[in-house]
Amino acid sequence: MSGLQRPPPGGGSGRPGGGAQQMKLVLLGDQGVGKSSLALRFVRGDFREDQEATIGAAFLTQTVNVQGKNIKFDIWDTAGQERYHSLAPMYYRGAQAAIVVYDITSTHSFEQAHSWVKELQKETGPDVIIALAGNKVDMAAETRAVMKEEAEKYAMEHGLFHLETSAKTGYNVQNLFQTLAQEIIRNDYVVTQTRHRIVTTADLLGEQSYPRRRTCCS
Amino acid sequence: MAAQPQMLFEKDSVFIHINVNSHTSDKDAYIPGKVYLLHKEEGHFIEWKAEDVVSLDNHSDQDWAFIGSVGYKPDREAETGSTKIDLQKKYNISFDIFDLKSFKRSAPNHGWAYIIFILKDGTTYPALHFHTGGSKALLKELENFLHIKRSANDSRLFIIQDHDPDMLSKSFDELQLFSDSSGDLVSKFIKDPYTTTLGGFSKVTNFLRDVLMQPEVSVSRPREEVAELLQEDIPGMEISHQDEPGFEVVTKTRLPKRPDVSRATPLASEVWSKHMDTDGRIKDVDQIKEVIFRGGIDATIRIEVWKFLLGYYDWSSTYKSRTEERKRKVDDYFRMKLQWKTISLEQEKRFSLLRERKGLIEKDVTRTDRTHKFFEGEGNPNLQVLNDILMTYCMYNFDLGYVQGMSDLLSPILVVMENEVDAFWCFAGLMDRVYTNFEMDQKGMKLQLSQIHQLMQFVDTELCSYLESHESGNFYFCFRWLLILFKREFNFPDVQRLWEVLWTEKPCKNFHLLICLAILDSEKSTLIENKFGFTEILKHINDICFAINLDESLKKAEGIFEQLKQCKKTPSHVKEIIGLQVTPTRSIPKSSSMPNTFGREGSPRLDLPIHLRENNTSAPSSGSGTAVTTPEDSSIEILPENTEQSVTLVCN
Ligand SMILES: Nc1nc2c(ncn2[C@@H]2O[C@H](COP(=O)(O)OP(=O)(O)OP(=O)(O)O)[C@@H](O)[C@H]2O)c(=O)[nH]1
Ligand SMILES: [Mg+2]
Repeated sequence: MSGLQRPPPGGGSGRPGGGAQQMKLVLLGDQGVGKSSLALRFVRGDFREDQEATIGAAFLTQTVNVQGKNIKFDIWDTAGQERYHSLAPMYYRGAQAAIVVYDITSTHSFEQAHSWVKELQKETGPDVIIALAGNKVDMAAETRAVMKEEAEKYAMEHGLFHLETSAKTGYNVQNLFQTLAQEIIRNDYVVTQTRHRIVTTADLLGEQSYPRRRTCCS
Repeated sequence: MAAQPQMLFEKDSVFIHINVNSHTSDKDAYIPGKVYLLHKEEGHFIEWKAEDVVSLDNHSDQDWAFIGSVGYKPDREAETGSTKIDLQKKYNISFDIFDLKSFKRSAPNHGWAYIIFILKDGTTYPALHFHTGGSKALLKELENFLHIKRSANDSRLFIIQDHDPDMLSKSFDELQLFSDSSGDLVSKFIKDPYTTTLGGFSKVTNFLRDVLMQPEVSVSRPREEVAELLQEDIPGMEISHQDEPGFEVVTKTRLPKRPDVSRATPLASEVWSKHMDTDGRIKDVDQIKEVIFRGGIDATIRIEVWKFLLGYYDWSSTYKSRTEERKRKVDDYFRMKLQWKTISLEQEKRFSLLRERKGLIEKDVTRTDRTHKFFEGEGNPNLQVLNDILMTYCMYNFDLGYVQGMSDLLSPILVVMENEVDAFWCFAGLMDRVYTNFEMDQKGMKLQLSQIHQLMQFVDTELCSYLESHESGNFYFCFRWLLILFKREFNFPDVQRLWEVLWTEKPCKNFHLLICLAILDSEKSTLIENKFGFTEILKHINDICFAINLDESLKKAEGIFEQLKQCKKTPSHVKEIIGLQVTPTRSIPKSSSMPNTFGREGSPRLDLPIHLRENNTSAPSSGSGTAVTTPEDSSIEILPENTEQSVTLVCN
């Protein structure tokens, strides 16, 4: 049995994984654009039409092998509605990568994506990799509202990498996460621990503006 | 590709129990499956796979083959299959045994053995029930690879010991308890625990926990210091009492023993009717509420009793007044429904706010409880009802609008009421209680999270400081529980039971916060001994939905309430939260038709008592109001003046 020789997988209590590099990734985007569906397609290879709306946040993990290296994704799937926007910083803080998702059948969701990108670029470090995913491309023929060229142009101008995906068919989903993993390896991030800001109850009770506020600690 | 995996263990008749959300009964559904221990190229894996479809009347013909195969990460891109199969696939389990952090076994007297596996990242799988034995054999097999230890605090919990010899020294280093600077902390702690910060304090207890749980490891650090620390009363973490103010946080007052409380049978139909006088007035409201608190409501009369609990009917109403009230409500509902129904497409183009809300609601309606009988299936007409009620609620409370989570609150109500108008008004009554959860500033949520913190600080200092030192002192992992009142944590019958219990407002205000404490108390050993941090805690808490025992939680929560009530040292801010300091000067408005569970000091009560609202809107509009079941409201000509009214609403 060689099993015992295998280095323990990463994760768990923020300890550095011996075998896999840990990568914190956050999914952001408007309500119903398909964040949870993308995450579930990636992690379980599954699509469920009746996937419930996310309340609070969900956390999933998946390990992928890229160029012989194991990358363990810690995926934070957030709730999309504007109302819950103020929770987002808790989840994107300390992330190495973010996928900003919009729905190609909704221009509003594309506009929302812009503001997410803006916020991320303002609030997080420059080495956070941001992907822009135009989801529900399976519906392109009937109801496309956001042109691919337009999104690509925007992505280029803002230094993002862009893909059109479908959580429903699985199109480009692996590709999306693989590319992020490759990017991480290329930049040779060594992730030693999950860093997320500690939000205390005092914070919560305090200023409303805190999502916009520059972080003071960590 | 990979070599054939080697089968080290296999056992059939291992079930996952799911509660099918049937709205008539809460029979368990068992998914039978097989458990394997496999040696694959990548490592050793425990897997569980569903065998067949049971008690979900099946068409499980095609599409099942790949489940049996081993490399079973489905790589099919295309969407196929019935939702039933999807539903089952959802439960399949596969994990590397080196990702295993701990597991929980059933109590010895439980009918058959079950095991709940918990991974390092907090993933918590549903219990695997070994109906024909085999759990021991599997664990024995596991012991060949893992060093398993029983928890000292919870005899059902087993922890996998880390093999990595570096691990322990690493955690020592991380703690740096005895390095120059923090050695200081320790001596400070011993000499003067009161000025040591709470953060430091929990570090110490973490350290001690490590030491206590790993006695076989040789510690190269000064034994005496450890020993000295061990002299302190560790389990209760009680530090000799001191009256100095301001250190309440560290000092743990020992609460009186938690009393055993019992639950009772639901309010039965006969009892309910006996409580009405000849005119239909409820004779002893408080007593009825007591019965409901103790056992819930029999499913057959829920449809009626909920209307009282949710302020649809006043407790002092009579048969006659209820008939009138209902008529008024029907009229009022359709008046508001027409307001949005009569907005033309052309108008809607210039009405972005309404358009937006319509979109939000549509999106959520299609994904609300679609596995429940009442809402399942393509084009289910009940989805339209759900949609219409939420749209009408937008008109009823335009300032609040639609916020995610509301559809979750409406769904169980609609299932009980089976009627659009009644469901709407009951939903509106529920929203009156919890609307602060949904306000833009999220004040209600924040307040409750901080109240849980304050309660926990007093009730369980150890767990509280553990959470604080693991980035979870904000209690955000309770967000979903609070926002939609545990709707996602229990199956439908349990949600209904829990809600009606909460609506009685017994035994105290904010009882739902004590339920949070009760559930966390049951998870305490798992969280602490697995050393879960922020992400693991959140994942674990998300995963235990449908695995929480409602009756136990209710009993425990009531027990905690009794403790707080009996304890002489319960601080006033804690008492305040659960309404123990009843100031006789505060007048309670009009029976309990409009309780404000989340009322907070210093802020105005924003909710209108229901009679006020009625007065506002009660000038009955035209329309006979006989159409109770969802009509097709295509006849838009009825109420021209009301369309005006909707415009006024918008201009506000
Ligand atoms: N056709 C199609 N529908 C999709 C796709 N991805 C998601 N959906 C559907 O879109 C709806 C919303 O998907 P979710 O994954 O729940 O969206 P979300 O972004 O997580 O939404 P929130 O949790 O509310 O923020 C669901 O009804 C999905 O079935 C896709 O690629 N194609
Ligand atoms: Mg989601």
